[in-house]
Amino acid sequence: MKLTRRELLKYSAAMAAASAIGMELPLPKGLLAKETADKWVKSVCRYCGAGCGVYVGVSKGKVVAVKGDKDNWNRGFLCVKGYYLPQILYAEDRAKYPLIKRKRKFERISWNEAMDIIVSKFSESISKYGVDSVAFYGSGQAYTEESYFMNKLFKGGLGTNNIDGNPRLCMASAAVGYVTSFGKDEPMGCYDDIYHADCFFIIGSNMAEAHPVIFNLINERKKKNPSVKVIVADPRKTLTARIADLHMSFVPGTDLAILNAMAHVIIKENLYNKDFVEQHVVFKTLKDDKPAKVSFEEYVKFIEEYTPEMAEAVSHCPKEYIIETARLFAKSKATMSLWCMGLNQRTRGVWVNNLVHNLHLLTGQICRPGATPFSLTGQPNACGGIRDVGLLSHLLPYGRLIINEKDREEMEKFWGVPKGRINSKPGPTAVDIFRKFSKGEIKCLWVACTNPGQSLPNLEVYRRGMANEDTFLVVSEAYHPTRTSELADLVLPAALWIEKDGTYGQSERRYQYLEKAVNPPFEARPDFEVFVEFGKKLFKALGREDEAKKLFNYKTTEDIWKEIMEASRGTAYDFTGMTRERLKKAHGIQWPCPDVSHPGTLRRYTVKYGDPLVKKFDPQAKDISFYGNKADGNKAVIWLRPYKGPAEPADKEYPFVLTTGRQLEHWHTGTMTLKVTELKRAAYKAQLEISLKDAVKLGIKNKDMVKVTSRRGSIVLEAKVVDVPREGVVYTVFHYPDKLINILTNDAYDTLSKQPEYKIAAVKIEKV
Amino acid sequence: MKIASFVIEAIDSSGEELKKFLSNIEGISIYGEKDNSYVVVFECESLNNVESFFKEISKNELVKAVLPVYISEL
Repeated sequence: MKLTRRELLKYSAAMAAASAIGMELPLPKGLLAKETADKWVKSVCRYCGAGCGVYVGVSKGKVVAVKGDKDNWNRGFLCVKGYYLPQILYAEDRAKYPLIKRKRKFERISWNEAMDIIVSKFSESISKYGVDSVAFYGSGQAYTEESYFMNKLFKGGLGTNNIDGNPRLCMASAAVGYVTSFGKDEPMGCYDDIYHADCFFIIGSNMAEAHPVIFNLINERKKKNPSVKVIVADPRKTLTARIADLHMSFVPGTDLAILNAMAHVIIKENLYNKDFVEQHVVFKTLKDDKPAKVSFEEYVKFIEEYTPEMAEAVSHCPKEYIIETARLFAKSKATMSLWCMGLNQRTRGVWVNNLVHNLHLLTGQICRPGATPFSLTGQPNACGGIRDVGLLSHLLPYGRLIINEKDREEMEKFWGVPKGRINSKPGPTAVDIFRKFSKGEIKCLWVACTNPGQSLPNLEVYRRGMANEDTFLVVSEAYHPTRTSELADLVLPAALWIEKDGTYGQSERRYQYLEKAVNPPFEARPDFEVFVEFGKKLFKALGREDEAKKLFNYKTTEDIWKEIMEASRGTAYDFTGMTRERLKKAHGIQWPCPDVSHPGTLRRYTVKYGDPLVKKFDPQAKDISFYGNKADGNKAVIWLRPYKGPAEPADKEYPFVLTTGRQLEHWHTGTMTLKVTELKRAAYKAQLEISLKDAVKLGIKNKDMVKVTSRRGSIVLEAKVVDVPREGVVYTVFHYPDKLINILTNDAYDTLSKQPEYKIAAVKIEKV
Repeated sequence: MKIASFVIEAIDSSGEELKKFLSNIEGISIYGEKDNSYVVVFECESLNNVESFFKEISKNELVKAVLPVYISEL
């Protein structure tokens, strides 16, 4: 029995409320074939970076059900997407066989033939044009073992940094924000902080839809403790904002002024924590584009101009709200900030991340239960598999940097490759890889487990580049066609989720092992197996067979996991205690975890709350030490970051700001969730949210068709006249492959993180 | 059509009475109860109806607290 859309929505609503009071709701008939499972395999949800623990029900070699893992952090709760996971495996459009495009049509070929073609294309390109003529574009959805291997192959094996991943589009600003403020990437806090916080400052995140299970922990906390305050800063009155005690709506892109104004109030009202600042903080600014230390007094002088009145004038957020939020933030027993793409996908993404960290450092709301800045993650392995592994063009594994000679030498020695093998120049980042591919500077590109043909900003330009017949595009995908695989020269069918095994690392530094539960369909294969085969064959073609035997001597993912653990040894990430055996039994372990008897670490940078590495890196530390930032005496940095607006503000010609995001029922480019009948029934089309005031001005009624035009292209969408966006702001989602919203978005990127400004594009609206 | 969910906590010992009261409101479905708190889904025409319901139920003498959790559109 299938649920109707109405029943599904009602159940989703009830489930959200039930989880807010820690109640398990019985599943309705038709949602799951729970009773038919022969065995349950411990795993992790395939979707977002929350990393909910699940059990996968298997019967007769087929996944028939999914239920939440009560022993994991999510306590058995899942969002509606999680319950329907089985259907993603059995979609009709699963990629079944390797395909080659000949005369613009795909033809089935064998795996051997496919691998020979790829190896031949890549090796010929390397021989003719050098190693920088090939590139790999990976994913925060791939397993850690897969990403680590390709990183090693490209950087350590080939000596090119032409390798980047889609977390560049979602998490790069958060990563660089952590590094610039604290010396090392990744949050110091964890989900457990939600149980201790008295004030939640949610900015640039619609958690209620994008991270519903984490959001429901906040709901639960508020329900049990009515004095707990929830403040939501968002230009839209989102589902998240609707439960807020205070909703700060503002003009998109002006939050830097608001955050600086909050710091202004905190200092003016003497609400900052003098002892904490003295002991644990240095102040820095940019002088001639280089970081330079300044005094606290200089910071105070800098912040002087950011009065609440000034911030209100810029942002249109009432000054009373700014003052009230600053007071609540500083005075609360424990304040937790949470943010996501609203801050990250910006040309000032790193700066605005720094400004959130500044508030925590100024007030000492950090490194104790409930007090922490916590960046939410969009993909299930963006943290563990890309940021930590170093599959970004400027990184090496576990906090090491391409530009740092010592780090390069360390990895060269570890990988057993000659000194100087790793290129000292960071490679092109996501947008630039596709820019170079469009220009033919990169001849061969391998895209795995991601959908840039739908997800890149200023999309049309890069789609044309991907379709270029003079270059060679390989796409490894679980589905075909997608908006990327349709552009490929060669498509490889990939095993999906629990059709293979590997490790995920989610937002709170929790690593979890996913066991293989069922076989992949048709001729689909695990990417890890394909990558290793490619590495060996490529090196053979390049006449480096002996080197390949030493470099790529892996038979299983466990073989490479052992090497990965060793790569973390002695670093600030140290998880040498996370053996595969332990991960199989545990419901996730959080790093640092430096030995097999260590239980994992909830909170970093504090002796009191159990970080085992503080004393190793900073033996004199009594409690808090930001040991990732040795150069500044193990202190964190408060940055002087001035207000700068977006790359493309609204103007006379393009008077609206378009912002994009997600909805509860779907995930990213919809390749998976749009295969789920019930989810598709619940939400099936992109609409343009427009405020009533704007709609009246333009003579637009609900469900009218409107043409949305940016400087990069146009899309026709159905109008949805609602009170959600503020006046002058329009909103839509990017899930639907029939409406390529990213044709409209801006590919201008943050100069530090290289993350594009998806969140703000100037558009005009016309009724059609 | 809007679909909204709430957790509604009853004043001590008035849980059953509150449940009866809620059951008589058009568009209300009760999905469960835990520790005197009810999981309630409200179907109605507009956001104004949701807000009115929230305000009214918050003032009800049987109700200790109301937590709006979710809202969506059919």
